[in-house]
Amino acid sequence: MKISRETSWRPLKGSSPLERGLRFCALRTFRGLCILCPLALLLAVGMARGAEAPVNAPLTAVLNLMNGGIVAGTLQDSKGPARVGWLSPHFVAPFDFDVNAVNAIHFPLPPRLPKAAGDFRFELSAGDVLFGSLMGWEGSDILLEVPQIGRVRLKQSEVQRFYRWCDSADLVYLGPNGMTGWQPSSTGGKGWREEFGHLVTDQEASSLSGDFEIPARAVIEFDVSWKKKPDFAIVLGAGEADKKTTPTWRFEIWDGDLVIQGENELEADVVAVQKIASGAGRAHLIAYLDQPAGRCRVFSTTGETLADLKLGGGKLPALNGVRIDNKRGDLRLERLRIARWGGDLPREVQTDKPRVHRIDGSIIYGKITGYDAAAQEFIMRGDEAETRLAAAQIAIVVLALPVDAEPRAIRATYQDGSQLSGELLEINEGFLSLAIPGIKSRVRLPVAGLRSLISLRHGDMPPASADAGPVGTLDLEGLRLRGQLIDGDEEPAASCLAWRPLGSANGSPLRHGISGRILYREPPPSKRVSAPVPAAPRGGMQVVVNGRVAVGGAMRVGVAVVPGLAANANAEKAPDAVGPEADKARRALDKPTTVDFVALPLEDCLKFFQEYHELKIPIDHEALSQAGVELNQPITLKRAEMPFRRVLKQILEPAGLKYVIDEEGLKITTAAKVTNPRGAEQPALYLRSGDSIPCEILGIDESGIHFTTTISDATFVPHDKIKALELANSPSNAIRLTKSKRERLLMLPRMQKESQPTHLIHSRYGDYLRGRIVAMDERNVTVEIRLETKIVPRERIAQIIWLHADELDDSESKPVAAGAPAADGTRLQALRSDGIRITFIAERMAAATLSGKSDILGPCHVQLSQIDQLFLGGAIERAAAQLVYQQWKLHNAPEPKFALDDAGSGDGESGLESPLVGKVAPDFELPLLDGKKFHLADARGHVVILDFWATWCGPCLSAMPQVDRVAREFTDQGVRLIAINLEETPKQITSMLERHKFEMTVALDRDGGVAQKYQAQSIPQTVIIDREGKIARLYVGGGAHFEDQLREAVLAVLAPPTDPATDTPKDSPPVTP
Amino acid sequence: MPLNLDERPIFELPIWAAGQRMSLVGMAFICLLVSTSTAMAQAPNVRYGDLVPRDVREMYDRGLQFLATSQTEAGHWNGGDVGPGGTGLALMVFLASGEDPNFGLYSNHVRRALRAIISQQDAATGFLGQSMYHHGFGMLGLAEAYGAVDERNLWPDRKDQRSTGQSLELAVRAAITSQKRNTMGAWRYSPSSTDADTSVSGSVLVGLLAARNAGIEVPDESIEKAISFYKSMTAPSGQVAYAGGMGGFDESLARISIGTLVYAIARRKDLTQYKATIGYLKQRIETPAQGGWPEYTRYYQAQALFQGDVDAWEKWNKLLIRQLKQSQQANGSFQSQHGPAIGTSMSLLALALNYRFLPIYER
Repeated sequence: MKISRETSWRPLKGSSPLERGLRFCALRTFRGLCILCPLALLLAVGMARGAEAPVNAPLTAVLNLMNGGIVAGTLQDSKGPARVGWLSPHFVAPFDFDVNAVNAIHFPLPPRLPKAAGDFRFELSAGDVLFGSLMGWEGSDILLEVPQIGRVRLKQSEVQRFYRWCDSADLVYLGPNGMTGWQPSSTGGKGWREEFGHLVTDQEASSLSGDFEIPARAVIEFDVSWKKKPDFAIVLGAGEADKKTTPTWRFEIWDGDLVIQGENELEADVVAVQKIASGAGRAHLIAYLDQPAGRCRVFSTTGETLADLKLGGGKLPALNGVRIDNKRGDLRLERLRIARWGGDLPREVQTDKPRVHRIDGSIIYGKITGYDAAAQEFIMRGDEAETRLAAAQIAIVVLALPVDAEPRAIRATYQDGSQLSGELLEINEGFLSLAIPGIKSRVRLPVAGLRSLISLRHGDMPPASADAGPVGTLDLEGLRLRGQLIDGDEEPAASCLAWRPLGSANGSPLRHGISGRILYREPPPSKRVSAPVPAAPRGGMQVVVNGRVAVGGAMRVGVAVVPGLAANANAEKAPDAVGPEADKARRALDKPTTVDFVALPLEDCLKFFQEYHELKIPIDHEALSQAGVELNQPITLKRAEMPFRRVLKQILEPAGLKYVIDEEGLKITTAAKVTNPRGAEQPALYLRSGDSIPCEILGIDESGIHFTTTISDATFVPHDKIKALELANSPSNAIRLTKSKRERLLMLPRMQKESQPTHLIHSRYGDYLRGRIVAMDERNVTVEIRLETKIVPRERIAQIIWLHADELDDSESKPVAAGAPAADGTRLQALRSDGIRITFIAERMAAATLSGKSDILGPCHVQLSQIDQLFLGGAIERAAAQLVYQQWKLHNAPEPKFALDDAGSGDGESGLESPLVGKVAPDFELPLLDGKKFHLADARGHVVILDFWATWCGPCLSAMPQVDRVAREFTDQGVRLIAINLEETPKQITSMLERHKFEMTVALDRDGGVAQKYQAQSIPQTVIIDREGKIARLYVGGGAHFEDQLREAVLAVLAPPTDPATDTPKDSPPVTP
Repeated sequence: MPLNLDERPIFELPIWAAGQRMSLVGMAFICLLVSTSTAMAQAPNVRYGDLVPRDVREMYDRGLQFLATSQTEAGHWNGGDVGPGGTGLALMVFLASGEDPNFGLYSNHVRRALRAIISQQDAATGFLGQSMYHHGFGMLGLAEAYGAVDERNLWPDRKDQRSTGQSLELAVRAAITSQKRNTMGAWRYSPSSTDADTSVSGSVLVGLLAARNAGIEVPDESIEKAISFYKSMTAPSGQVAYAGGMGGFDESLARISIGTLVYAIARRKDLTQYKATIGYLKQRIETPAQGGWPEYTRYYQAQALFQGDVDAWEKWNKLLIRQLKQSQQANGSFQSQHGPAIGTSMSLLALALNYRFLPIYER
């Protein structure tokens, strides 16, 4: 339902920028006496006390760096003032971080958070909070007893207020405390980060969700700020999978107003809350939500009513969850509090005066100047006389207004909600030493019980070391660190890879056995085998663009898709050409172009667009002929509307072409230069480990490939390590391989299971051939196709892909040859910017060069400056598995259903497997084909064979005569056969019996009820019921030798139980068919 | 291992009179003659084969090593369904190796195996023991050794010991007697069985045909009756049933191969049933052997395809070599449900078509 903003617009009430807000504390102990006392408050960080640890809480301590780096680990002793020691389990030695480089450290939380202990909660300047007891008041100093630190002497001016501490059971959420409890929303939550514990984003269309309970009657306080013009929504009740239609309360920016909008199934309404000026600003609001009544009232922190919204048309269902959508601009969530609401609304208060709130709700303005510990009385010096106030009557004492506090470097927050900030002096033996303004002596705080250490100062990251390698990002489990590789040698307990994160004074060698990667440069996206292009309609070749029709030449359809290195299409920035044609070209590129359908040769298509957009599209024929690109190759385009640049891209890219803007106009040239740095015709070898090696191929024999390469002295690689060989560029005008064709190409028929093709040969003309390459020399490839040997000229082959038996989907011998990781050492795979990719065991890192040994290439040296990415350990295989060639794997043809059903039944079965065996046979009565009835209970004393069957069931018809013969053999011993037909008409049955000349007692299970009782899920099912009426055997599936099996079973059932089992013949066959 | 032309024809001698013994020189002489004359009938490369691939030679030698080292002093093998049949198969492996059976590397093993079969034979009935399977394969072993192994060296003190020829004749007589009692005109496990199956019968019939090829008298009537049994068990599709009244036709490549082989060796390639069975096999050279006895299937498939269509065999043989290369154990053996001795013997005999030294492998 959509509402008109004009019709429901209501006059704006209060709208004042709120510098600092008030806070409402529900004192449960004194509910009814002193509820909802507004209090001035600085920004605060807290949490639900005594509650379960929220989701997203780290399982191990995590350090966040200012540059976005994260590293899980443990806090270590610092090596000096303002330093943080941190040991990651991936590293041998701890790092020595500059505290200015650290954004925050979050520690794991216990399952239940501890409750703060103490009589009062003291709120100090800079947002610090202490819980404790008031021990004395000596002039300008207050003496506190704080559980974590003991006796503290505090400057009175640092204390802003304190109030009687209650356990805050009404509190649902108080935060934020970093990302704890929040998740990126499914609609996109990237771009949120924490800063000073706040949640901050400057990314468009970025959402964050917290799955918090919202009580039916709730107080929701939020404090958000922004630097530029805000555009956001805070949605209450967004918990149910971000559904757009969920009834919600939304605080949202509409033009220059912050509004509250309520919506349920029947009604929606909106009220303005406050004006929002452009530029930096803040909104600190307290909403009282009465969900049963469908009402939401919004107050300022001074208790001023800002908005009152009431929805008719029934109640909203109870809502849960909070979502923050940043639509545009930036947003910072500094505070969110959700608490149960008793029903009383705030009173207005003079927030700018020191005062005392008593537990009866009354307020006394004046400043407390002392405390008589013996009498437990506060001393207030008013204008004239001194007033004494019994401490037990006091709920809240407000001493001073918040002032800009001295900046602090770091804040330590504890699980119980206390927090202190100051300069970090040292971390030593499980204690932090802080210098805190207002506290004379250094404060020693235990590390135990810490929730977070949060940096309050934006420091610059220390620069990278000039003598180490280039700066990259190391990605390991629970770790992402910008930094540099520094020199190192392989040692028994330490890798030769040593990493120095930015912000750390030192580096440390990695431990062995880690898996991850170092990213230096994001490689260009490699093109995957993409979705099939629909075939052009028969008989018509036309371009319909913006309603104009052009008719082209012979229709051909198809776009080449080339796997591998050569396909790393890399868009090239057009040079800034000048001139009227260049300008025209630029304008044309942005023009919307409606393409109805195109199936034309490339050249005709370009000509058409040249006329259509009235611009020049010159063609660099020289470059095209060098790259062997034909202009008569067919292109197809799907129906779409898009800018001309995208149309052009779709036409050119598959052909390996691109456009550049130059003085002549939109010049079409080849993209081959940038796509394949190795040169167009340079063969390359691709290994299963992911390696790609430029090489000259000498030949292939039964053991592997013989080659030469410029990058090493190696000359041979065995078959089991190879994935593909590129001999030439892929065909540019090949028939496209559709998904179903590709499926078929890679399907292994059942009859070929022991004669698998081992190679897939891709010809330069686009054909694929499956077979087994036996040999290759400089001229020919000998390939065995279905056991027949053929010779193929080598020049016709573009690529050969190896199909390994262990890649089959249900292969038992999974990754034997797929690059089984070496047991020891530092296994690396370097992906160079030229596309070359090599795996080796690193031994040394020195002079910005990694050195090691590859089992295929021998000694390897790679300069860090050449490397785009470096994969470590198990990540090599994971990365390799994503490569294009590795997707070419055979899969088994599905087994026919009968083979699956037959498995485990038939010949091998003893008839004793069914859980029904040994149980009393379910009784039933069924009409017989001849009109009589059969009642199982009447057959007690007989051995009854039930044969479940149907006329459409071939295996049943082959089993029935066998069962019949056996039953007849034993008729004189009281064996009866009832053939139970499943759900067929007597006519069908009779005609079948006549045709097969079967004579047997057929019972009609018209509704399948009896079959169900006997769990006959597949037929034939044959059940033998003994003379006692118990199921003795149950067979499913019949089979060739069923008769013998059944005969033995009937004999056994007939035999007295004491009889020994029948002898099996002694001369068991050595071989049977 | 280069082929020795002087040795090769020894195993190709098709005709020896019963009980007749010859000197080695004489044998070599005659076989040269024979080989030259029969070579006229078929292309020499089919008869002798091309150079045996190195893979095959290495695999075969490793398998031979396994059999040689696992043979007991008494001449038989242990483990699995061993017995005279198993000994007969292993004996053929040695004979097919191309090594001189009398003076070569494995001459002792050959004599030991032969003595084991002969000693186990029932002197009165001629039954080689255990079952008609064993009887058939034992008889085949005897037939292939007969004439090739110098009787003078067979027994250390050869008082009252049967010669190979005598033993073979006796075994043939036992098989014929058993067949005569059999209503189906063929054989089943027990010599006195009255029903028959195409699997047991294959071993006996091939044994009889080999004996006849070696010059032992086998009545035509016996062969004809057995072939009639096979004809009755062969479907127009080429599938061969197991036994009358025991299940229908299915795709048992082993039985279809047996059918093809017995028709071919009995020189009945004219039969429509033969054409059906060989046609069926040729269509399925890539199809994996079903059931739990792939080596048994391959043993017959090799011979059937070779007899039926050398081109098809050549293709199939490539696959065989690849498969066996993968399944050969470190000690040279091939595992099977019937134990390593039988698994190894059958696998090597399937490979031995590459050598074609055994008379029964002649086309």
